[in-house]
Amino acid sequence: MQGASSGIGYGLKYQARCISNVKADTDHTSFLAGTLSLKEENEVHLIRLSSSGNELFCEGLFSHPNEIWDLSSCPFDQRIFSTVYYSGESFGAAIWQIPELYGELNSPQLEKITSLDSHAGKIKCILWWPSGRHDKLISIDEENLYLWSLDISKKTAQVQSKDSAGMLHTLSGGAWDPHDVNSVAATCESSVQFWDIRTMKKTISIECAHVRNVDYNPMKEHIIVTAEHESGIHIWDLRKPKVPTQELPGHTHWTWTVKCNPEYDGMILSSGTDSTVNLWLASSSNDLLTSDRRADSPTCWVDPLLNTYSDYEDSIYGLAWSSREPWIFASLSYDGRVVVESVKPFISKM
Amino acid sequence: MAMRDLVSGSTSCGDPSSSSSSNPLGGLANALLGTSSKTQERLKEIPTTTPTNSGLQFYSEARENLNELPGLESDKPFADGSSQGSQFFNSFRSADRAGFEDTWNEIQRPHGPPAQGRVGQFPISELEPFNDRVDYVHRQPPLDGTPQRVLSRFLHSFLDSGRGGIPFHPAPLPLLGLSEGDKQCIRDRSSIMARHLFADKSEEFINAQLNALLCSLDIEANTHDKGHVPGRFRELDDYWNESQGNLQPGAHVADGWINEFNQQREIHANPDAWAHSFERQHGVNGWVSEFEQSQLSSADQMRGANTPNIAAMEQSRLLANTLAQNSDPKFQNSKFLQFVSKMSRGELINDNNQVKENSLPASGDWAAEYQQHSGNRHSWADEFLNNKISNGPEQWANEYTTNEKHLSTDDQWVNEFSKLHVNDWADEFGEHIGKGAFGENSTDEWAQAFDEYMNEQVAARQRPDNSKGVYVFSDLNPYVGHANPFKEGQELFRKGLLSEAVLALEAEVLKNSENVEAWRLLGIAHAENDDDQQAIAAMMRAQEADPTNLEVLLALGVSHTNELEQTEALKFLYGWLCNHPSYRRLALPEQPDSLFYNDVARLFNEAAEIAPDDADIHIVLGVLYNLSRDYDKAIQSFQRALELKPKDYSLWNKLGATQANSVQSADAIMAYQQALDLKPNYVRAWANMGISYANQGMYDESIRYYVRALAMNPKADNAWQYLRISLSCASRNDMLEACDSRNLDLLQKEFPLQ
Repeated sequence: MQGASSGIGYGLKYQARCISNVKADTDHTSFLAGTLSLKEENEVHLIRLSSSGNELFCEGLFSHPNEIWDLSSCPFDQRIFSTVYYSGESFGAAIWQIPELYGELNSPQLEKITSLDSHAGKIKCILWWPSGRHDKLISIDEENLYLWSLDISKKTAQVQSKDSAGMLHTLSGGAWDPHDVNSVAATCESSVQFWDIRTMKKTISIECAHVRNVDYNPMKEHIIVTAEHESGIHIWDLRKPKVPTQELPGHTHWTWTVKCNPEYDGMILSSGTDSTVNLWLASSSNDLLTSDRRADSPTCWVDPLLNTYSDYEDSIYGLAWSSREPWIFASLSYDGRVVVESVKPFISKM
Repeated sequence: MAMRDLVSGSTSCGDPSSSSSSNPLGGLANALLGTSSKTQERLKEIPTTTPTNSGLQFYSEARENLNELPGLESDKPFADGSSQGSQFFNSFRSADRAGFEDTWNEIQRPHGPPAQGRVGQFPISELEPFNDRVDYVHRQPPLDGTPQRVLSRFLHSFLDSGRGGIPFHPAPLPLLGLSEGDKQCIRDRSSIMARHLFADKSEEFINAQLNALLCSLDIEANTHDKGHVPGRFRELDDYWNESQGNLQPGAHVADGWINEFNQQREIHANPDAWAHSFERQHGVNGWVSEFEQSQLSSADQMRGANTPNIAAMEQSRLLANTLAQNSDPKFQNSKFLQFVSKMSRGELINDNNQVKENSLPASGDWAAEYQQHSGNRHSWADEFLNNKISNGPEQWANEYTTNEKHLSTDDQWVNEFSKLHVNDWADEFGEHIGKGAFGENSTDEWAQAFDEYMNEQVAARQRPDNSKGVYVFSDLNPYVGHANPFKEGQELFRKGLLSEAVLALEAEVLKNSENVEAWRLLGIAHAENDDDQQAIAAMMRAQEADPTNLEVLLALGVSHTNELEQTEALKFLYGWLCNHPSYRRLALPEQPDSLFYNDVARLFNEAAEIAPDDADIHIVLGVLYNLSRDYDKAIQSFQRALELKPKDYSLWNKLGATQANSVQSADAIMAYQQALDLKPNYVRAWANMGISYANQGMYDESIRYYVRALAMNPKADNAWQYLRISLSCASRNDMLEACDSRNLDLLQKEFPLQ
């Protein structure tokens, strides 16, 4: 299957893994992308989709001291974002602010609000409170989960509580439940662990083969999607954590990232080291899959893969839906190319 | 659809109660219906020959008003349920044609001499019976007289053949003296219209009909393959060659637009041919000079007539824009591009077939200028205004001649398709002038309306962020100047000629910007033509004019739901409730600052309890559940509404779209098929059909449906994009170029719908 090259491209100068939707920018469809170059000075690009929707342009370009391994835009302030970076021997994490009049400065410098310094292990990701203005942050390193309280005006961040994942587990990432803000999921090699952040104790866990990435379905409670090491994608109902409700074939090599559409229930993007992005439409209404409907009318059973975007030349680690125009997503391949596509062709109109 | 018109006479909005009494064919159809399914096929071919006294009502009454205007309720005595209806038509399609001569002759006898020819023998005699005109003077018209007259009659017979569903045969015609522009115009519009007329026919049939028509008129069916035609603008040619020389490896990039430009030019850039052919037909002292004297005392009054030049400039602007995106520096610096760019800004004008430099400041570095220019686009409009003023009255006359001549052909088409049956457009025009329909005041109004619309367009381009919601008018509108474009638009809409209806309705709202019904219908036409942006823009204007119109509020709710704009959608759906006479008491006591989905959904559920048999309530509920992606409930709501309104094609499409979005593509296809059975030229349903096939991985099928949708509305930008994706997925990269250059001829040939 050939990917349609209807996407709009934008080139970062260097290799990159991280792209994030700027949710707080309600006037434009914008993304932040950070580079990961070993030799050069790294950069954060503020990329904006033109109002005509057919051009990506650089709204701001800021230098960043280290390789960026994780980047996440603040959900309530479009000029604030977090990065996880690698500096020399150790990982660090910081909250950054884009200067106010960045457009008028010759070489605008990012302002570091604070760094999150309590980590002993290799930091994996930073999670913002799922929606609205809030001072809480989660950071996850290989061994621990931290809950932070961030004060932007005082430029401080305090650890509120933390918990260890336990000796046997190495954490690799996580997601914050948008339906239940007390619940956070973190991925380890062979399970997804859930914490209640009020008590900072583990609640449940899902045992599965090596998970790389996890995302909550923003439209339906209790539903999560995981990217598995062995290239598949699983959809889980947390009320029945024993078996996945649905399995999608994923990618021909490792499936690296999964992202649920913020508006369209069941629309899932995945990307992987096979240099493709797959668009899935997975019905989350269980009865459709499990009931005899499937047996009754085999023609009703359709391949949930809507499209494969294959116009990439390198592994794709970065994926982000636009929250403002939820039919638009951005993908970032390791060679530093951002491609924005629209999934409108797969949506029927009344 | 054309078939159904024949029997049902759905083109008129006549009184449904008179159905069986005044229509012998209807009676015959009824009599035959239950008796022999084999005989029914032939019924389709029987026109309503009932003579009527009304000059416009050429069809008898609407017995089964399938093409009723949405939102306008009318009883349908024939519609006892969808199953019977579709069975009826299905048997029509499948049954045998033979053995109907008797029936045929029966029908012919009471109304005139028996038909002389049998179907398929001789075009004129065979077609004539289909001409249900009152006067039978033209029963066997000799194909002579003025070219206008010949063309008019010939086109009539083509349309009539469409109604009868019989093959159209080429006929020898005298030399008509059609210019290239005429031909291009006839070709393009007849091609789109044929798709609407024969929406239920195979691609082969449509092409055969079209080829027969075009062949008779000595028009080449396909001009897309023509390369750059040299000669008309020497300067352009030189620059072109130069740019080609610079650009050998990348030359193919430009081929697409060059063709496009040529086509455009053929329409606009050949005033000589226009003038000649005009003189041939009407003599040098034709009406134009008269008109000039009486009407052109002031050039300003006729501003509205200058559309082609504006259109040409706009075209060049788009072209320049496209070219500017070509990153090859050599090409960027080529004089060709500079030339086009200048033309786009009105610095060069195509005046009397010569390219002249406008008196305005010439360009230095064009690229910089273009940049500055695209930031500030109103300047081209200013330039154009200046340019217009600097033109003397003589040029105006010339331009006007060109323009009017162009309109004349279009007008003819209008007449053809509207059944106005004006024998000679010039006569009609004279009449209008006599009646004062084109008096100075109205001319002023037109000019003013046109100015306003141009300003609006310019303003829209200046603020791209707000351009959403501004209605974009078509460049060349033959209906501007029509006596009653609104009625025309309604008629065209009923017949399902959506793209034409859009033009007529645009002419109406330019004249009468407060016409709620015209704006509403325009919005519906755009939605059915799969253009939600324009649909929303038109509906917003309707809503401005009448903030309480229920249909408008519902349509806006649907369109905003399609565009995933929840807040807006809720606002309009709640507005529907607040303005509905039966449900407004349910509305919240105070207009809340912000509406919450749950509140609105609760109110409509209450309304559904009060009136469980009101289909509209279930429709709104279905839309609301779509908004919250609660597809199962949405499907139930639409299914309930369909029990109450089984003939609502847009409702079938809503059901299908909901099913498709909840991963039930196979069910969706069945629902779309129902919609298309009821309304064969429902472009949105064709496009949705393509989406559902594509979502099931059946790309080959999806391509055919997209191509079909595009043939009916080549302006459906979304469908072009979808087609491109399906072509890629089906590994048909060889056709991507045809898709990118929007070469419908080639695509239709390659992907005919079975």
